[in-house]
Amino acid sequence: MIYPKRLNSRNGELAIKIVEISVLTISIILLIINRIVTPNLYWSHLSIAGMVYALIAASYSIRNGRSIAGHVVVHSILASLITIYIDYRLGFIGWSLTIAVPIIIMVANATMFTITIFTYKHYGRNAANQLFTLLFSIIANIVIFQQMHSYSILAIIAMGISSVNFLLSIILCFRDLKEEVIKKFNI
Amino acid sequence: MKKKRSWRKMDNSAKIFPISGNRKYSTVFRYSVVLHDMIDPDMLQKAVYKALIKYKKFNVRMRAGLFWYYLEDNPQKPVVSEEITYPCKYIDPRMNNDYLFKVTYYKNKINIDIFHSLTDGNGGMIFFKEIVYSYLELAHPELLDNQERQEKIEEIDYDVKDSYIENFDKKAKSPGKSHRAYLLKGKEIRLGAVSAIHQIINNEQLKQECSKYDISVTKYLTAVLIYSIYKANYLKYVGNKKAKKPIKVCIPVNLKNYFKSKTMSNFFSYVNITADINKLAVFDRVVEIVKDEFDSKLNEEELTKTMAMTVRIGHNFMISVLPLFIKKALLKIGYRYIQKYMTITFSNVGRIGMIGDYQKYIDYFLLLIAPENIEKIKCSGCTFENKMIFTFTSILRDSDIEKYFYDFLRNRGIEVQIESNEVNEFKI
Repeated sequence: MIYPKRLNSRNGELAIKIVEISVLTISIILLIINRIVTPNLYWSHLSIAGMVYALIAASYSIRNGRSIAGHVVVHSILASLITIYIDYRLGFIGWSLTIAVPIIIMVANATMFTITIFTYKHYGRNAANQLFTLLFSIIANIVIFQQMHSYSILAIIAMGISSVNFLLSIILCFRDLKEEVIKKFNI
Repeated sequence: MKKKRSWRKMDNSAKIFPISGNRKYSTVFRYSVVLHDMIDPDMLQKAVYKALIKYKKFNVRMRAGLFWYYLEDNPQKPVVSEEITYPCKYIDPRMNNDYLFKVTYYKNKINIDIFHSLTDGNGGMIFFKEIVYSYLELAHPELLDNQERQEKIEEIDYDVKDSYIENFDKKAKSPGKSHRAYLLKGKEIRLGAVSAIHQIINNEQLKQECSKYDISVTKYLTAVLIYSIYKANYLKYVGNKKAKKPIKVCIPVNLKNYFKSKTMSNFFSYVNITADINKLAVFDRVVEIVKDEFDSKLNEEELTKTMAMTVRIGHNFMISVLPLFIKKALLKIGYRYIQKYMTITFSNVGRIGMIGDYQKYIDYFLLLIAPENIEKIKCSGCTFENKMIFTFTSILRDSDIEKYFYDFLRNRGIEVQIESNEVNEFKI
């Protein structure tokens, strides 16, 4: 073998189709939930726009062989803050914490998972960013519990997905990850 | 005080590439060498530094002027890294210390990806061979005593003059009007992946087969390529309908074989081998067509005409005075239009000669050219000892043409081995 292992075109096409179908399915579900629960508030449009943005960003990253996992974390946090702000300005019903933030975390995980499949050489770096996403999802759950005095099923699912994603990365690249954690947390 | 950096204008061909190129159309070509031993990255880094001392004109970066891009000395060090992406991808200057070439390695293979504005296939090969020589000397110090190599180093004599201008014949007419070509059909691989399939052909057996038709290896492989496109792409997607557009194979030509030049800048032209699709049902007929086309087009007179046309475009006053950003927009559209006049490119650099003592460390060389949105497959070839390596770089999802080409040669009794990056499946 004279070339590094890359995903072949057939498997790549399959992965792209899975991601596209997932985004489409989630979008439809979100639209339905939005229509039933809060028909006057179009929060689902924001989430769908976020997913499309994530898809474009992941596609750019893979096409140009760059890891944008770090950007995904930063963008997820910023998007979450924006949705919380919008919710707050509209009288704070709590949809930002119970629905929007968990969906953002799920999309971030899906994006990072896709990036990891295509740019597997960056496992180490991706894993460190997945750790940040996991921490972010834990914090989101704590905030929800403190602010709303209840659990959000979506937030718990998002935390579960983050944990599985992070665990997968640990299994795949324990050595790289250890180095990355030491590097990122050095004082 | 800020150090004054020397700079130079780009040659006539070179100045077009950065304007027409982008992330999707990288205008990058790659040489690789597969050695018998694993690559030592530190030694490779030193070898690149050593080669750059001998070929200082490659130590440049590209800068944008008001009207054209230009080259200036690069104060940074070149980057050597492990190969992680697809071959011939766009060289991002920010990730590469602004160099116009990128050296990578993988296991026992060294690659150099070169942006076409820096040099052509011939200049690239000379520079790459210098890197390989330097690397082997670092890995095997006993080679440093080689007399033949010392003599070759002393003989190094080159310039970076624009040989297009030096050899431009003002009286030469432009070539006749051209027509659009059949464009390869099929679904594309997504997310910027590039498939590379190398067919390692037994050169002795190939030459024997060529002698049956009394033609050169390049002509024979061009005929096989046209026949494979007809059988595996045209008949598959279009069927037996009468075709209007011919299959056109663009063959780059090293002009140093026809004109006096010592330049390491671009100095190449091309001939377009045109084959009427309605006459391609029998291979022997394809060979006749290819032979006639080469005989009528590959000569000094025709090459002078093509060269004159490109120089006239490059030095057209109306084009020259346009600001760079307007040129970029116009030339991008124009280039897309011109590309529709070619079906495929096949560049054969021929035999890559290495000094005897160095040969035992080398398995073979490879040449790859970046495919693009319109010319979805590009072919290239080079020969080292008894191995002729014919390479397909493709953005098509199927590898039907590659498979037909392989089967054709095998059916003629020629041994062919396959190496690939496994982006597209290739079942033997």
